Amino acid sequence: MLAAPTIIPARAFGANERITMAGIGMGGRGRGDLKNFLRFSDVQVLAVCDVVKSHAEMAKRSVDDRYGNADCVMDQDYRALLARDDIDTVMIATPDHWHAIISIEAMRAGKDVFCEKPETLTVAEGRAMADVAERYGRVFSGGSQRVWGDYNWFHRMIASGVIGEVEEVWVNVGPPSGLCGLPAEPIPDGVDWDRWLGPAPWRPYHPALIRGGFRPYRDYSGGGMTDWGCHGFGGALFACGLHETGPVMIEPPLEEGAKRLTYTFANGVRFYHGGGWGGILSFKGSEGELPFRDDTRRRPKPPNVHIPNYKGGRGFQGDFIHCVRTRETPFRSIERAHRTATHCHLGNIAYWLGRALQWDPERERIVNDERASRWLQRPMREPWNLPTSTGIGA
Amino acid sequence: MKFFLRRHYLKMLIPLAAFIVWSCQADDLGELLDAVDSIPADEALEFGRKIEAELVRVGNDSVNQQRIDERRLLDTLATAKTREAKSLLCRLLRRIGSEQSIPVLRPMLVNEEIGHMARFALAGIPGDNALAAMREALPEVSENLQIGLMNTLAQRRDHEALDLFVERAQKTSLPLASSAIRALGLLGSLDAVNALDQQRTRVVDSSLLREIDHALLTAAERLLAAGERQRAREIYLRFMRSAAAHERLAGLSGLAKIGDAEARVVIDGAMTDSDPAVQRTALWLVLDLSGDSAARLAAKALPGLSPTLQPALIDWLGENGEAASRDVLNPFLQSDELEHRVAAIRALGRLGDSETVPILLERLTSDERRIREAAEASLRRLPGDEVDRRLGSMLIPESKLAVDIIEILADRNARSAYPALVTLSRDGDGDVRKAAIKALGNLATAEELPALVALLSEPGMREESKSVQSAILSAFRQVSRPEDRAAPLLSALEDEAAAPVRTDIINLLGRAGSKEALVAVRLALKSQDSAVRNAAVQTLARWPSDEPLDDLHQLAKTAEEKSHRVVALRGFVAMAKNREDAPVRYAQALELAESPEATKLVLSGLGQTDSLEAIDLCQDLLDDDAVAAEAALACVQISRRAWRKDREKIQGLMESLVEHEDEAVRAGAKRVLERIVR
Repeated sequence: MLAAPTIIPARAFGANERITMAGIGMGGRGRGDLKNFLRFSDVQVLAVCDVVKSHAEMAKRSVDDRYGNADCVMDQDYRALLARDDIDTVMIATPDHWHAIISIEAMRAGKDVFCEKPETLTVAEGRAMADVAERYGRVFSGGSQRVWGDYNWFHRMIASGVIGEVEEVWVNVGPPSGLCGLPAEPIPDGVDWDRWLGPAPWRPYHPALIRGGFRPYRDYSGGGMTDWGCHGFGGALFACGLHETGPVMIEPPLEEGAKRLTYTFANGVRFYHGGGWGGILSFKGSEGELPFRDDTRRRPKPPNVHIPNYKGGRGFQGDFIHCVRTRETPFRSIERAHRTATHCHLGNIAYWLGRALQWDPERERIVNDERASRWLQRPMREPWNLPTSTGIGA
Repeated sequence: MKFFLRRHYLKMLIPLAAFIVWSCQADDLGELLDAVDSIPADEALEFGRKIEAELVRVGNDSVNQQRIDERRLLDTLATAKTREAKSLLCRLLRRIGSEQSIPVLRPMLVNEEIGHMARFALAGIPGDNALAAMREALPEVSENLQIGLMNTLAQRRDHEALDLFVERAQKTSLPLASSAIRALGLLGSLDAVNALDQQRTRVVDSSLLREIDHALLTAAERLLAAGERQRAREIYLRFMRSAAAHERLAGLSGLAKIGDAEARVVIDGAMTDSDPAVQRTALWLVLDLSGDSAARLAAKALPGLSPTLQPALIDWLGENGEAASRDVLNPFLQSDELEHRVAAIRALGRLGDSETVPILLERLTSDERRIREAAEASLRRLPGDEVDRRLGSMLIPESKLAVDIIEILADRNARSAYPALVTLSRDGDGDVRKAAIKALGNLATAEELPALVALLSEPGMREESKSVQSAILSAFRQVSRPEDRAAPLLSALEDEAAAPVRTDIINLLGRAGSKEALVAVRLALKSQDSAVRNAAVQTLARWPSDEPLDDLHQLAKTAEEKSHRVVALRGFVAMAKNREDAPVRYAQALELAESPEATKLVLSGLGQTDSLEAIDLCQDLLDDDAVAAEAALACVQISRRAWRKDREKIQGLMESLVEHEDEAVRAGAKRVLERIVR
């Protein structure tokens, strides 16, 4: 008989015990998320980490101020935090290109994960994260507070049949990312630049990248398509009940063809990137439109229709905390997050290649286009890798 | 698409351009790159877009043309000197690289600086030759590059690499051995698993032992997919014997994937595990595996389940259960444990019906906040019109719960309660009255709007006029056409003599915003009653469109009362902002300004525009001491948006303001100058 495994145990917490947390990626967004978690009396933040020392220092200050002590541990290497037995959960708010690696390593170490959106940089990363969460029985919540919080009016109106069957949806979010052309600058003290790059191809340091200015660049992000796309497309997919599948055709705007990037689903519903008439989301159904074109400022109260959403009655972050205790699946599960991000990535790939893609949402494969399939995964710069193989784009 | 944004990066591209131009024919790509050193900084973005477009074209060309383009890139790569140039070419080859790229990329794999970019390109090329090139390079490269190559080979599940991985799994270098072990897990074949098991007997380092366990878990999924169920089961069962809860969770998850009767026995048993997380996960897995019978199973299992699991299962029943399982909740409504009571009340919100209403209403008076909140949420959630009727029937004015019930009915959109609420809107209790009027506003449709408006002029309702006005505004949400909103107000205005009511109606007409409403408000300007006239002027100044702009101009010019002239001018300035003829309108406004304060008001509006004419207007006031600072600030604000329209003029103006005594003006002028110079 084989011996029992030896993976270091994570802490098992009781029903009334505080859930311990480490924050990884403590830039502006990360510190904002951290502050939200610090409001929960049943959460104890033990440690923070950032490759930019000043970011970690600011985060430590806010944690110490909250608890009235100097106990919060600060580190520039996330692996030191994951090795601790006394940390139950991690909150990840690094740039996108680090999300998959840290999430997966955390789940392998027995931690539950709250990860900012966009949760993934590639389709393969998302599948790997979902597989690992299932493999290790971990709770994973993605970080879009808007899919339910901001857009639930649409969900309720559509679920109650106000506009009939949804036929077309316009999602008004930013453009795809592209190559990075920022000049080289000297690396300042307190910045671990090689660690910031991590799995991304090498390039020289530039301060904009560590100050949240990484989004326009393909090595680190999918641009507006994935940034606000994970909110907007996430809301559209959920409203239409398409959040656990994907489109079958993605057509970029071509001179002779579609005016906007167009997604077509197996049931005939079409999503467009851009356009619409009401902010981020506009829906056209068989019997009406949302928001109403004649007066977008006055939204009627939605009918009394129940749609399962956050659990535990404490909002978005509370949903994660509740599920850590109950082991239920959070509203923004990794499977949903991955499907939404995949939707955005496929739009980007169609833009980058300038041609239509056929997608098999069941197998998660681009059909009959080997070149396009290369974009589903990217080799990581050594020594970083995903310790799981999805076969996607390989 | 923001790339090649900076001049510095263009400098980096110059050598690359030279290489590519050297090797390319005079095609679009070549011409573009040929011109790279003459691109001005402000055209760099457009240049980048063209490059991107060229790459798209190449990718969509015929296969033959792609091969030609690939060859050009490869020739350029072979002689490229800078790291940036090589890196960019590898990126392009990742898009279109084929077998012909392999001989060029293969030698680059050993290069410490650019090896990862060569692998970046090579990893995308399909077929055994690309894999063979990476395998061949493996013994020749540094430890770090070996890790990268092993990762890529494993991701592509290159079973030919098994021996290479096994060899490295035995190395003393922890990073190398760890990566090799991971790679074996990713291969996931029986041979790989056997190698991992063997390695497990040799390894003493705890981190490597952990890596082997992870690799075995990964491999177990591959085994399962390949039909090796028993071998996978052995691995999962090992994890179930672990002392660590999260390892047992991993074992459970794996067994759930197997999902047969043998696995079910273990999962069922885990519901009594010592760890709550394992217990709960086992519970969800059992339900997942039970398919359509899950709800019945859950209801049946609930009473006998561990108390720590019960609240979560009650919640689950609340989302997934059937009405038939409602009775199982009864004991939990009386439980000593708060968590159980709260969960049961929450679940009733989904599983209950009209019979549940009294049970939940009773709990609205609980001393425990969480009980009250759960009961209120459930009363809002309970499905069915019968629930509305039952709640409506309990709307007894003297009831302590009347206000709560009214609010719940409004949230439920309970149209059937409308008549009862109309009655309560005249109730003797002020709180009940207010709540009922508010609810009427939430529920009213176009048909009920006249009756709601009529409340304004009803004797004895003046006390509630603010509540009634708010309710009418709420009701507007349900009435989309401005004409339909205004019609009952206009009708009431005709019949109404009392000035206070007429004033309220005129205010509301401004929110309705139809053409007929505007006519009525214009008429009210001539009223004998000063309060009505005041309301009319205020309403015109807040009108939702710029339709009354000329009315306001006239009022600002000729109104007898100064306060009317001031209000009208304020409205005029606000409305002029988004019009094409804004400068002309602001010029009119300046003529009408009777005081420095009024001039400042106009300047604040001017500052939000973007025309050169607007700047002229502000410039004329720079010498007026009473408003000079505001005029200077407005000049800066407009210039921030308008500097491209006349750089020379704006530059001169800003240079004259860069030493201004006001700090905001100085800073603003400096920023505009920086933009112009840049």
